[in-house]
Amino acid sequence: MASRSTETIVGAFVLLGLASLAYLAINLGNLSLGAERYVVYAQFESAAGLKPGASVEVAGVEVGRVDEITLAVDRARVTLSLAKSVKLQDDAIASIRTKGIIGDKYVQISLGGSNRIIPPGGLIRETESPIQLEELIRRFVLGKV
Amino acid sequence: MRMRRVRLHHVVPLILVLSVIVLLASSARASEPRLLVEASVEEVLRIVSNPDLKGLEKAAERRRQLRQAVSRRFDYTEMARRSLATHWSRRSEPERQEFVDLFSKLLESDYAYKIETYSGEKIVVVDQQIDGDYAKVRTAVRLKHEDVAIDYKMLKEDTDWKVYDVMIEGLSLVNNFRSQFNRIILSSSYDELIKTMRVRVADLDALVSPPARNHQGGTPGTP
Repeated sequence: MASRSTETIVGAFVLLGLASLAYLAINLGNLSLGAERYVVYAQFESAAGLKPGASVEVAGVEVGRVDEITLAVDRARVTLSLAKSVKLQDDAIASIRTKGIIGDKYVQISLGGSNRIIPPGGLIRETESPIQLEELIRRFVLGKV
Repeated sequence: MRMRRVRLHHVVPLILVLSVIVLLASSARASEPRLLVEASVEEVLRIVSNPDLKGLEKAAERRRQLRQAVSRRFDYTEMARRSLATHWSRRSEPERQEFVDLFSKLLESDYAYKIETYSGEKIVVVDQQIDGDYAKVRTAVRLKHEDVAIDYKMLKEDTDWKVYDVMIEGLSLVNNFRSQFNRIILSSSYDELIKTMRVRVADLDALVSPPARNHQGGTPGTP
């Protein structure tokens, strides 16, 4: 009897440990479980500096993350995974912006006013590529044209 | 063998007819986005560099012609709707019309003011990308040291293409207006936005038009 209850307690601890590990893995790895998210795509002329895992914000509120950045012919195709509760109109504009002056790049979405909503797997048509600080400096140094 | 030769005989005129159709179709592509942009740019440059329309006393007439040329290619309602974004649905039909009217005046005055500084720079159409009812025509203004990229985003309306956004060096005009309008509406009110726009239009008009015509687009309620 005694050994039986010891075994049960050990088993319970092992399960607890596994559950904690899983919780850690999901949280640290930024994995998202469940169906509360959907994916949309956006094409940028350049995604310079943007990294997978970067946040997607609407009005400064994080509503999703950058999943993947791939090359589509000559443009960058960015996969965004967004919270289900966020609805993007087809005239929403996705811009790659910088946090602060030299901070990380993130995707900022300004909501539109159209009645048509971008469905899961759809494309954000209106995009703005990041402003290159070096480019601006170059222009400044080489003289205003 | 004979049968085949007869068939070939029939096929030749068919090929001729087909190639004529293809030729006709390609010449009927006059309403292609890039050609439309090219034509509009040419027209605007013609007006701006027309010696008969130079000088302060000709400003009103030059302005009228510019307005006409630009409004033919721009869809002001679509631009205004996209710029007002989430606030558009909260406005009544007369309010929307008033907004579109004011918005188009603001754009035209701004555009006319900027184009006045034109001094013979070359403007070239780089390419066009068409995706269904959407198109992007990339143009470049050739300056002394480098190019400034100006892209026109167009929407197909029946058989015509109209501009709904202009990207200058990759930055969207609509997005710029959208964030400014949103900030004004949220920090004060929609009425305040209308007031600000009226003042801006009057200011821009004053820069271009001779003083006597300053207040023709004028506004009650200008502080």
